[in-house]
Amino acid sequence: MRPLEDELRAALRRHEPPARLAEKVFAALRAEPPTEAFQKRRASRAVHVFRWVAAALATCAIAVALVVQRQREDRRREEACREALLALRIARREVNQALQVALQAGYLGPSAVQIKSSINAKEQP
Amino acid sequence: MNDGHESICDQDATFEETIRRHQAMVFSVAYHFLRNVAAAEEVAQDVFLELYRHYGCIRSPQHLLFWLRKVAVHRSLDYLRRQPPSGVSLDELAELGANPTAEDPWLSAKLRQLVSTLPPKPRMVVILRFQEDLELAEIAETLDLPVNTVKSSLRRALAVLEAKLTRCLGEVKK
Repeated sequence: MRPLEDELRAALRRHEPPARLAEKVFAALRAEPPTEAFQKRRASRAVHVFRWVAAALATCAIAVALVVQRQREDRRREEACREALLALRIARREVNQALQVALQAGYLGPSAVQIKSSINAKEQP
Repeated sequence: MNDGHESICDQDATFEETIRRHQAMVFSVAYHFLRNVAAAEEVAQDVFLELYRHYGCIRSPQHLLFWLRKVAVHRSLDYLRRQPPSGVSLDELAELGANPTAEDPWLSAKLRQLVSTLPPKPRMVVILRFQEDLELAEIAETLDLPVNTVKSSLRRALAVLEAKLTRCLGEVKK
């Protein structure tokens, strides 16, 4: 007689199950509602798609916001430029008028006349 | 067939291959433990249904084998707990002489019968050791028991089996 352990190995050899075990498992699977794991897989796929769509939408929204912001800043800068030029023009006219009054009153000498004529020359392009 | 079932069909091929590859191991663990073909088949079906539900959690072929073995063991233990104790089924009698590779069919059948008389945990230890050729540490991990407990269970089970077998052989000789 072989040692007990060898006899046990021979006695407890693996057996093939009755035929069509796989088919029976599939039949049982089809008989029951979709499994929790399947529902989880489907839900996680939906979440995955949703994440991609949300990321794409967020990227678009950020890009549009950046463009709009840039355009607003450009407009504001042009406006400020125009206002500054207008202010300078008004200031020059005021100074010019003051010089005129001073000349007529005889408060200024010949050098002031030269200054005024040079201003007038610059005003006429 | 609804959407869920169509998707089940999509992954049928790999799952079916998995069943075919491991069905002998799962069925044999249950069969040697329960000594009843119908019960073992029921347990095997339950194990593969459970596998289907947890298929996404399986990380590797080794993990799959470990998972299947562990679930087969625990499902078999649960099945036995639910069933009232019964004698040896007629399946075992039909099995005599059915395995042409066994050197001594009577002895193999007698040993299987003696193994079935062991208490559940030592019986499962013997099955995992001699059917699956697992090391003590692997058996301990599968059964969630300390290695020393497994070691002593196996030693005691072998002693009991040896004593019972000697007694049986003595009776046969008389």
